[in-house]
Amino acid sequence: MKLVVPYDRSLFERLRNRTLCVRVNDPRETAAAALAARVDNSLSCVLCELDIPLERFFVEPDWRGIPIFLKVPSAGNYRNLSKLLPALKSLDLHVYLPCEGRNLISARQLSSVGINTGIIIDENAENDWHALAEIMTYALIGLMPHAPIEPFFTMANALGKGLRGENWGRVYFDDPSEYLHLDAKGRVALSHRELLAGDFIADNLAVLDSVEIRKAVDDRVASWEKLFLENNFCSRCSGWKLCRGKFSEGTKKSDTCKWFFDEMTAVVEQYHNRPGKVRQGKPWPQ
Amino acid sequence: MSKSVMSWEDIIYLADFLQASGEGRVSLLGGEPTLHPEFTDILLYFMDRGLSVTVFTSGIMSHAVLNRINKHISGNPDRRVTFVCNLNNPEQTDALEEEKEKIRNFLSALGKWTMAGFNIYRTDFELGFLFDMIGRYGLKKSLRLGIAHPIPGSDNRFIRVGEIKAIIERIYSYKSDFQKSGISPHFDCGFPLCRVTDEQLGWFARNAGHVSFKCLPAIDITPDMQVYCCFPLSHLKRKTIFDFNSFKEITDYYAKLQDRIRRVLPGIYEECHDCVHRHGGRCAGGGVCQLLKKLADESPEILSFIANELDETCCSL
Repeated sequence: MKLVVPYDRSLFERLRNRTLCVRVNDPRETAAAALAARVDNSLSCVLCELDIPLERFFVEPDWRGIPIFLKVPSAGNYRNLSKLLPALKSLDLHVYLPCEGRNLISARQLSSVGINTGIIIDENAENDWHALAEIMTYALIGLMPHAPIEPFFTMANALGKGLRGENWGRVYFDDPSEYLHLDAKGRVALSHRELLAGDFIADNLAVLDSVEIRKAVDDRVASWEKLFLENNFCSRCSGWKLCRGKFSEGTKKSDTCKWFFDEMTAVVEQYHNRPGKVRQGKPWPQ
Repeated sequence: MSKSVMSWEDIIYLADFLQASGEGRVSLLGGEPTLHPEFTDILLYFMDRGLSVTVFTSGIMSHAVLNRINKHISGNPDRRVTFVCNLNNPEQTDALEEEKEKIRNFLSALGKWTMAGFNIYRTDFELGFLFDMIGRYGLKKSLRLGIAHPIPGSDNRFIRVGEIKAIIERIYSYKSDFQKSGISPHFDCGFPLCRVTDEQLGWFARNAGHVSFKCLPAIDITPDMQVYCCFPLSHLKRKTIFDFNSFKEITDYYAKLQDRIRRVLPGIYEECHDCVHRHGGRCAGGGVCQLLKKLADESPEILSFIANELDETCCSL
């Protein structure tokens, strides 16, 4: 179990031998946060959410070797990203973009030049499923090897391993079986959204390994099964193996997510059957 | 309705397609490619994908576009880009002073990435001004020489088959200028070997490094991803890139189409039929566009026969 925690040295001091994902408010804190987290614990990654486009991001040399998950509202113009590329490629960086506007194009651009990329698909928004289908197809069966585009990469690989109902929310750190979210006071929530809403399952660190926490996690992990106890659209949908009912609210408005996940099921089959799938070659110059 | 600019999805597909085909180069043409609102971004993207890029431009662009290109290219001397700028003789063409000024600005800013090109569409052309411009703006030391080809189905100005020998002689008359300036002539397609004397051939080979008398498909891809053999044959057997699995498949398809045409008419001259150089693959016997023009003028009935023949054979991939 990994803990998603804010960059707070006093909190780190109260934790021992944990694996931490550290949220920083300012990317300039990245190296210091990583160093502090590694004193008594191990570092999984640093998470940073910016309100500026990626083109205005800056990179410091001592960030090398630190896995960084960066959420930005947009990528910006390619001409400015191009200048940043050598620095971005020197990092263990994952760029996450909201599923809106030109971001799907930007994700494809970034992935094609070797930057790990993620699309944040909002479960409650009216998503452009046709645009998502295009980038999903590119992500999985594009002509040339490119950096992974999440969540498609994780979803496709989970299905390939025969895992039923894989919670691909983990690519957004939203999977209580893998991540618990803590605030600076040590209060525990099952997701970042619940943490922000003050919806905690425990109010101190002492109970982190308790049976109560385990039960709350198990209940949440198994909650998708409830879909099959109701006369729910998702319980009759052939795409559920991939989507796991994540869009059960949205589907009340439209069934285009069913179309998307059916399409994705076919693409995933091609992805696993394509010859030379395990090509390690990188098409972009190093 | 056809698209006027290529989308980013298609640009990324194209980069993938070229790389998957083992191609290391891409050329950006137009119209005027710098008019694409994201031209600089596209240029940088292809370069970041490891492709060498050649941009065919008139050099006429706004200050904003020029500054943007310059800003992003100049900072990195390793950039693998060549601009081919077609220059016209100011004495022989009417151009607005404003356009001339823009070309001068372009050459001043991006001269070291630029190769001069000259399109020959009349027999009394002058090359003298080019040696001056290449030196003054520090352009690459080579000059791309192309003859204006007929475009079957349109009424463009072009060099007639009977004028080619005079064209070659006129180019050769500038040999001392080429030698003095250290500039190499580079010949575009459509020059037939038999109209070059041994003396001229020796000089061209020594100074240009490589002289080709072939006519091969120079595949163009339109903004809506249609492909065709080359610009003069842009109306002939257009396909979509998605019909092909590799770039080689496209060139093979259009080479086969060219072969079909040459089977009916081997070359632009009578003697092409029995020419050992054509049989030996050293000369194509002129360009296919010249062949089609000849047929259209002399035997339109054979042209329609070829068109039918192509419909029956080449269209089925």
